[in-house]
Amino acid sequence: MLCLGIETSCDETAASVVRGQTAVLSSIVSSQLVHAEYGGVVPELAARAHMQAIVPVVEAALAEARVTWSDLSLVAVTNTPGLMGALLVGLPFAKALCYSLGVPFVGVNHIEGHIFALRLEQPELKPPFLAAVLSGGHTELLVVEDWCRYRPLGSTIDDACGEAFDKVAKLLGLPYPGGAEVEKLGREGRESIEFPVPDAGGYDFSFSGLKTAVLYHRRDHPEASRADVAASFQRAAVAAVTGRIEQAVRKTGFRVVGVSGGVAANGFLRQRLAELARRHEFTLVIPRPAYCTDNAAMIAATGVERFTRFGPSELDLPAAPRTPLG
Amino acid sequence: MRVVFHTSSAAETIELGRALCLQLKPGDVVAFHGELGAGKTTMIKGVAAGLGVADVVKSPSFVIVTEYAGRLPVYHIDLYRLSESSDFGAIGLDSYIEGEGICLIEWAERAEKILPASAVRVRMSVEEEGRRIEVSGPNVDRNVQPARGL
Repeated sequence: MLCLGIETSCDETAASVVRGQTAVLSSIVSSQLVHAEYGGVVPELAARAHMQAIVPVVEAALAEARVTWSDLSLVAVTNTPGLMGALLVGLPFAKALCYSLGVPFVGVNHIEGHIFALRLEQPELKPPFLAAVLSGGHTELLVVEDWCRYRPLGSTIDDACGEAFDKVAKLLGLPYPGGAEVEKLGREGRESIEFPVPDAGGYDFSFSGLKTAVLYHRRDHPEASRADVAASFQRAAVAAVTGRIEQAVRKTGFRVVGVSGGVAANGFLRQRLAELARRHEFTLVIPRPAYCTDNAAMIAATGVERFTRFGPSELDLPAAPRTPLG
Repeated sequence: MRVVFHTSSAAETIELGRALCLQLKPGDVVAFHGELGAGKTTMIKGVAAGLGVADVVKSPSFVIVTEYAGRLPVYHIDLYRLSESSDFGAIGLDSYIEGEGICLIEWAERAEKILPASAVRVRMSVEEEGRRIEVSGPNVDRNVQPARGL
């Protein structure tokens, strides 16, 4: 089976061709392409950028995979969650494509895509396992009972984990997106400031109070080194994540933990998770950074599994700004 | 009318949001102004709860708009990632504002040109201890009073 995956739920226009369950033949993410073709200007409003990018991105994915339209046997596309205007570029595009090619079409939940990124990294990965999806828009801890069957454990009650990084970056005068910037600056600093490790109770997360703690610290200690603030914030934010995962490993007894989403590209988090895995003797799966951040290979991989299990989606499948994982 | 409050905890800010919702009617727009960490999302948790939203209200910075079903449709909109020159029509902001639901807009100054004159303004700032919250608008009356006197 040759599946074309399309992702336009937020800022990235992405397309990918995947053979079988996990063989990625190509994975194109627009930022690179837009950079080359439109002189580096990526409009912050995603919808129009998606509209401009989607045809060249899909064509590039086919070309890199060395396949043609008629080779495709399935098209998978993100239909939820995300920004409506952005979803409404990829979804109808995929439907029209399927209609004209006469191939089936599958709608995919973006968060489920991040879970399948774990399988792209490690094809032999088998449920059940524990998974955390950490990104700019999502912070979810869940049990993958089987592929396509999930039991949510916890979620953020305010800001997403990656959002906390972006906003603290802003407080420190760093550019957007801020995750990588905070990490870079933090490497030069000491974890000398005791920011509270947020605790929302149960398996939930909260990052809003940590953001406020950084705000107060900047106000009350403007002379403090920004690198120290970055390092200390990162320590607290990462401790909140590793703490929840440790708690979940202890209570559920799972020996395999997958962590994905854009925040999982953070080197400091990866290091702390690796230490945690050694201490508790569980197997840790973290995708390579290109599969942590938004991409369409994970959407294609999800689509293949969903099609195999449940068949195609109806052509009237709507876009939805948010849908919990079923 | 303009009313000024001082809250000293997130819980008090949420309570004030609940009180504010008593003044809202279908189609109203509430514009929230204030720097990062001023408590905009926190206060909106209260407004939404007061409007009968049962979901956990999270920051919509990343998705820009989150729709909730309360007694009325509630649109939580966050223009943090947008700029004044953004094409608000492309995210459907004008149709949210003209709709029958309640629009709660963070970083509302970025869409100043399309806000209605009747919008309720909530200006939030960080004080030594807690937050200063100024509520104003042509239809705001002095009776915005949280249950626990602030």
